[in-house]
Amino acid sequence: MVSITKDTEKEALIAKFWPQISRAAAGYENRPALSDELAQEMALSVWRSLEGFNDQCSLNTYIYRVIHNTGIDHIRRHSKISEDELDEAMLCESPTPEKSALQAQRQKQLIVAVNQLPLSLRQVMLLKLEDLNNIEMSEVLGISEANVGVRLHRAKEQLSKLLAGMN
Amino acid sequence: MDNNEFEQLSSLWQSTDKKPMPQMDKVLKRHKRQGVILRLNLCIEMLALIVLTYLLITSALNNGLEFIKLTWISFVTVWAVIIFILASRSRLDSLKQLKSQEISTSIEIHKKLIKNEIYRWNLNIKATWAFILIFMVFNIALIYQNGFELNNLLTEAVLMAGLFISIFFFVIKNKKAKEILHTLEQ
Repeated sequence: MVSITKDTEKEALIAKFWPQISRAAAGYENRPALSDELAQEMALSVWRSLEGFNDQCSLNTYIYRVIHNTGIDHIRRHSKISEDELDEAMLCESPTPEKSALQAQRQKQLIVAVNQLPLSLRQVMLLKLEDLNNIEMSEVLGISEANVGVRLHRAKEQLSKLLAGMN
Repeated sequence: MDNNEFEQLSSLWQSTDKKPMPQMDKVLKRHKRQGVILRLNLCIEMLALIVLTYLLITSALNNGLEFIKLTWISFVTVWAVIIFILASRSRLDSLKQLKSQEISTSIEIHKKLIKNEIYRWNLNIKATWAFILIFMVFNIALIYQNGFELNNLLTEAVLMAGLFISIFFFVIKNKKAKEILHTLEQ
């Protein structure tokens, strides 16, 4: 049993995974205010769950599982909102004048496109974008590797179509 | 999409602007506050139900109401208590699930929570229909006994409209919750 109980250890882990947490939040919620809220909820869930961590899987897998279940919880609690809802306003924002403007625009398009994927495909896509392999994804989502492969293939196809439609 | 294209997408995804990390002590305090508010709401509802039931029964006994009105008050009291008990049982079960450590790691808990929510929406729909039905019977009985009054009819029409709007709202919420359950079960 390797549970993490010290607040300093938990805070360090949250800080380490914060970029992944905030990106996952953007993948589940495309409205900025709610996305920030969700990121905080994800951080809180990770904080609370660390004491329950044991050696059943790697810490990495465990934290991703917590993050994605909090995303599911967010969808459940916000059931009044269609999960396929697309915030077009995000696409219409004028790009920043710096040289990274094009990249910023592409990032926004990617976030919007990921948000448009059905939940089952979105989850594998979010994990793949974070460079997890199929075995790790199957452990995080609790599905077989073969299922991960099928979902990933479909997710890539749909994402390509969505991105092509935006350009 | 080939591997190279996907790697580009992946690096684009990972290079998104970093948001400032929240202060965990503040987040933890807010979470505790929400828990207190949730319990407080439950207590307020229970207290309101007890006070209302007491007022209805005492006014009925003191004023010596006629049989039809007494029957109506009895029905409303029993109706409210039954709904409160059934809804509270489901809510307490949900609270227990929300407090459990597994909420963060098990999708089954989320399915159970959404099933509880569907149960509560169904309960609200059926209870409101039952209320409407008995309310109509009560009014027909009153008209039969005391004759027709236009003022009463207007008030009752507004109340009925409110009840039908409530049912519409419950049905929509129930449908959305079922859609979410379907998505989770995919």
